[in-house]
Amino acid sequence: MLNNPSSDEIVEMFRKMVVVRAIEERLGELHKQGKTRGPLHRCDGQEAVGVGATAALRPNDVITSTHRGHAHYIGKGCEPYRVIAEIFGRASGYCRGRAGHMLVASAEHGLLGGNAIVGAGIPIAVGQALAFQLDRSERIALTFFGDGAAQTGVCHEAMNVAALWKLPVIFVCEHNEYGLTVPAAQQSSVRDLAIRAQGYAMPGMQVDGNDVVAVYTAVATAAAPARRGEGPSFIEARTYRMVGFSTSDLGGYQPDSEIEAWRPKDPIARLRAVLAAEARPGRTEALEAAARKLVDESFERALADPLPDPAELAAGEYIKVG
Amino acid sequence: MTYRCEIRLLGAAGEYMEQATVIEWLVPVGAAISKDAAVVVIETAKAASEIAAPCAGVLESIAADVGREVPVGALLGVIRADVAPDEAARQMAASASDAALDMGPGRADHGGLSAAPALSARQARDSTPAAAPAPASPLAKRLARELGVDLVAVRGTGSSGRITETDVRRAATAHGQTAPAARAELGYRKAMQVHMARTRDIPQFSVGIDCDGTAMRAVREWFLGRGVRVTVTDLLAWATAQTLPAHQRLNARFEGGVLSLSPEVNLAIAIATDHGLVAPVVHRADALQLDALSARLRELRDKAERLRLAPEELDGGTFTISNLGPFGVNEVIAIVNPPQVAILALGAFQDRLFLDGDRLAARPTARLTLSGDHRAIDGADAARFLAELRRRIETGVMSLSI
Amino acid sequence: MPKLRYAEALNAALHEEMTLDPAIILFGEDIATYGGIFRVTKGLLEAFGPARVRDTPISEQTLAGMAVGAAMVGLKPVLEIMFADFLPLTLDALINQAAMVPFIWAGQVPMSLVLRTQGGGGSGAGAQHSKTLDSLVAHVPGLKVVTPATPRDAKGLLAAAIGDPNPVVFIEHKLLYNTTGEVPDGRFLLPIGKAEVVRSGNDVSIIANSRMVLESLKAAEQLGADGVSAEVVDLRTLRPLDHETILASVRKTHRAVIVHEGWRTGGIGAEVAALIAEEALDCLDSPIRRVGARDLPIPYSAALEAEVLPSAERIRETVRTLDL
Repeated sequence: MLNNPSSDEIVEMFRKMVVVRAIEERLGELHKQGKTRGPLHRCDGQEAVGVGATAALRPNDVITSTHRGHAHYIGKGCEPYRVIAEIFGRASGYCRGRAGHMLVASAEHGLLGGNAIVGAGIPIAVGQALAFQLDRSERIALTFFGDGAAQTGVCHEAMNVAALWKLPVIFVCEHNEYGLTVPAAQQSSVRDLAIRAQGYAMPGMQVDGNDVVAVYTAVATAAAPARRGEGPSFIEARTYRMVGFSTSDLGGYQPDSEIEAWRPKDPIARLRAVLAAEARPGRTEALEAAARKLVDESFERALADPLPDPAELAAGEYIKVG
Repeated sequence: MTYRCEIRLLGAAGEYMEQATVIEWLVPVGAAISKDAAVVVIETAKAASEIAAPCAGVLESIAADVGREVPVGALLGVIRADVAPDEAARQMAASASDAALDMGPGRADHGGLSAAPALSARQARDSTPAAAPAPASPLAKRLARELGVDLVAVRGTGSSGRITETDVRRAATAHGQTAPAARAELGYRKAMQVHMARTRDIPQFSVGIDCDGTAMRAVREWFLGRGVRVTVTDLLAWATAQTLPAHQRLNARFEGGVLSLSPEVNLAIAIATDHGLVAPVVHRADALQLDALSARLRELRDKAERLRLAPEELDGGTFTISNLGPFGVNEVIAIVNPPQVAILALGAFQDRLFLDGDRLAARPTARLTLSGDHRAIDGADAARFLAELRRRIETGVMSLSI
Repeated sequence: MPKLRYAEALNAALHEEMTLDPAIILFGEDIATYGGIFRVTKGLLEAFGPARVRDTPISEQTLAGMAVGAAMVGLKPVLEIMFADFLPLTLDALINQAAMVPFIWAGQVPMSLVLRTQGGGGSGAGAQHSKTLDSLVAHVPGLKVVTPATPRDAKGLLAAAIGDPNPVVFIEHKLLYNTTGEVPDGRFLLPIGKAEVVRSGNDVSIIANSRMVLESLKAAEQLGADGVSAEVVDLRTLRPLDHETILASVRKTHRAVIVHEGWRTGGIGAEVAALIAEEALDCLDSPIRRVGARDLPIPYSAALEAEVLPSAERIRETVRTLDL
């Protein structure tokens, strides 16, 4: 079909999901050892949304991300080593250690960028799309946000403006059932958020967010009309957050039964099974091993890197006026 | 019984104390004074200094107003004591505590010590108990320091009795007629102005020699190890005082065509203070051991900074030294201080490379420059003196009295 | 030299800059067809077309976020926020997003946005349309805050703000739009971050911004007749502050009175006063004084509003409390 990924793309999405999972798990271990600093927001179980959506974009498209953005960062092409370096405040990080894990940006990869203010990335993406409409570059802005952010005022304002001006932006709602500790049913007046797309005169889709191919297809389906100037789309990707809100989270508000019900739907396990059923046995094991090895090496390298020199601060708060 | 004492202009007889100008009365007529408290500021060609009350009592009358030039020995004012001297002292002590409480709204506003703590403390020690400074603006305080004005006697016309810039300028000038923007030179700077004008006709020459400071450093460290702080200036002064007796022509006065050799070395040391340059004299410096000389210099420095030098401490110098090393300069060609015939200046020590046999070694080196009045001494006299001085400095033989 | 109204000068700046640089776009409420409620954007829709000059829905928070996004990818958006009292709606985009991008992202992308707004009281617009919130935004590193007082400064500083790669909050004043002044012909830029001595004097430095510069000049005239020579310094930029000009003036006059329309507590005067006390204490012959709005929401009734807002008379009275 027109908007489906190729088999190479599928394999690459698998690899990236494994990379993301390996990063999250390793961060969890380091956190238990007391070697991390500040809260970290893992996306275990949600990898397919970020990896699938970004795989359907072009390199010169841009995304805005959230506080839970590791799958978005890796999906968009960022190097694991430099993302990890940024998470650990190293000078070799994408933002020289200044941003930390929630605010990572890489202009080179169109990651503009992580955001710790819930919903703040949504209007920013609409502004990026406005620029693309004006320069007729056929570029797209895609904004990731959660079901919690879907309730913010800016989300509604942004959807209204985007549709009104037919801006090339894709709204991807990563519905993981929770806004911090509160379940979606206690946050949203409607169960299926995709229904709101209608209220803002744009196409809406709901997909299985743990099926990376389905996510890819949905985004590709939305991208084409956006590039043609036909305006935005809204994609609700249903998924689940397997390890709580953040490393500072005491947990206990996600019932075990609920977590266990989602475990068989794990995006990596599902795709692994699909790939294994195809030809070339052993291919997935080799891929996974390579991915995990890459992540181990990236951690080792990043953790050995130096912290930035405080002397840098003397350059001040502004970009120099040219 | 009424007892009176006179405040007179006394001082060492000599050309630098022919007369003086009354600059400021520190207390008004009718104010109580304790014995030895500073009562009036006079200024000679050299410096401003304070005259102390010879007895306790009340200032009954002023014979010489601000601005009057009076000869040595003249009557300045009269103090009346209605009680015997020791009874007066007891009463003064009692009224001191009362006066401190009754300062009016201005003082209360300022909350006590925030105004000019250093100034107040000094005044509390020295002057009349009733006179503590009113609050002063930061500008006024700075100006008072620069002009040598004592805030104790300045009346504040600003809000809450605050002393302002204008108040200080008014107090600083004799008749309060100077335009606010003009600055009258006072004290040391004025003395320098007057004195330097006299040096114009002196045929002056200079001779320089580099000297190695290694031994000096060792001596300073030796003293530091014993808890005694000895400066380069102290060491230079001592070495100079020890060397001069063998070079009498340099330790002389030249006046009216006559060169008078001096039996004593009265060493003048140039000191840079906040009020300007001044050169107090250590009399018979050749008789002092190094630590005694160091202590005396410390005392003179302190007095110079506080405008407390006595006339005899400014007179009778036979040779002057000036150390500008602390300012980082390499070489100083000082101007001879008449009627002296020579002046020695020292620049900063810097490490330089020397050939030691066939190896390179770094040693601290500084330039000593002797300037002389060629009517009295010649280059050879200067060179011989410098050579011996250098030898003394470099061999590090310093006698001690500890 | 031609004379322009303050609003005309701003309009001219926008026109000139948009002609030169296609990356500049304007959006905001009522700015396109209507030309803006103060006429600052009059004629620009006709000149540059609906793609670059847009009327927006009422969505300040999102509009500010959009300006940030557009700036990240190289546009130079000039967003109009109708009243400074609506700035709070834009603060997340200004403070959490725009201000942080240059520093936290280590200069990877430009953030060349201008948020134009207007504030100030004296027109009976009520508590939610009369505020001065300049010191609120001047508190934030990464932002620049400009408050021009004259048509000439409005034009030159707006042109500079548009070209600046950093986010600029450009605060005009509703009672200044109709004031006139000489404006040099042709395109010119004035430096952001430089104050100007607009009246030379020797006895006191009156340091002010925006409309209070005009009130200060009035007060200075009256003081002159009283024999007091007042120097008036127009801050022009509140962040970054021009330390040099402020301190040079106070070192000369020895007295400082800071005047602003923002509330006294935490107004820009507090920052300027601290600066003077830290760097020029020994030059002061009198305590530093501030004249700001009384710490009250701006009331509607003319009698009350006049009492709350600073005026030439209050400035003059304050100068007279100094030890002169």
